[in-house]
Amino acid sequence: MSLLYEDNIELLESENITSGSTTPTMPVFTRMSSYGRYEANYGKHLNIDRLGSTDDLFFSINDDIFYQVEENFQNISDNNIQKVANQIVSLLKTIILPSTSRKLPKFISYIREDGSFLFEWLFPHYRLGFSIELDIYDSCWYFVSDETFGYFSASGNTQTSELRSIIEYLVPFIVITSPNR
Amino acid sequence: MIFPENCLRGVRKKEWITDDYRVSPLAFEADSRTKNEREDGLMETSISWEDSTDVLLFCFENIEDVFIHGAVRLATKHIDYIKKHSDCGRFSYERRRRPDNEYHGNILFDPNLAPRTRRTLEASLAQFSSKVIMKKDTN
Repeated sequence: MSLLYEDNIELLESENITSGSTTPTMPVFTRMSSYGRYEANYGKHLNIDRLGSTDDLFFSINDDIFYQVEENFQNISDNNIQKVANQIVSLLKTIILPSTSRKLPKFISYIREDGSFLFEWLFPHYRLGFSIELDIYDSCWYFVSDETFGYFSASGNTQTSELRSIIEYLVPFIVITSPNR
Repeated sequence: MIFPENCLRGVRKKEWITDDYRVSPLAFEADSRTKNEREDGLMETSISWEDSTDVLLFCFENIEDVFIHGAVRLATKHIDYIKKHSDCGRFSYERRRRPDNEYHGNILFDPNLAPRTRRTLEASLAQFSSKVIMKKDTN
């Protein structure tokens, strides 16, 4: 069954983020949906030198950054939520794993009291999250940053055929700007 | 009304803290029950306004059941930024003193927000928050 939602993401412009660049630019895109036009465009040019982390919780890809999330799948009581979460993790793996050999933080997951499932990828100045709701069609992704990244905020539904494009768009930025470990 | 630079949110559950003492968006989920108790129908996330440097210790010592696993500090300017730049309905904050906590207030969520918008707001608040402050850090 297709989980295509009415959402429609329109990628307006992008700047190539190449390895070694010291000033990657926050991806800029505008989304169209049933909720109206939503612009997520607070991006600034960044200086990677500012992005140092005090954290020492970065893992090698080989250490499996998805371990905690996948381990938590067994605690999800709703089969549909588990299925969608599994699909998104599989998608993330196909995009993230071939893209870098850098050490990256692990994903962290939570099961809410109502049974919905949240998993996040946390970096010092931003986080990418996927919230799988009881009504699967309310499920969403989000990417939010603090003021270092210009208070960037974007979100959309996960049940869209565009999800791969969005993740493919965000992951290179995340990998390049993550503190080098 | 003038609000202080920061507010404090109690970390009621250990699961809200990551290994490196950052906070989960779950810490900022509004209590949906409160919309039925308020005339404006908004949903509350309790905070304490940090009117002075003593408030943190006050919270640890007097609201132990809420600040049981620590506190996070959130700058009012960050909430203002979200309010100004996001399509977040009646998202706002207030001071609402309680007999046991004169610093008490709420971050208020519009119950009519799309789930996606609400989750993004919760994540933004978590991202803008400080790392978890433990009671021992106040000594």
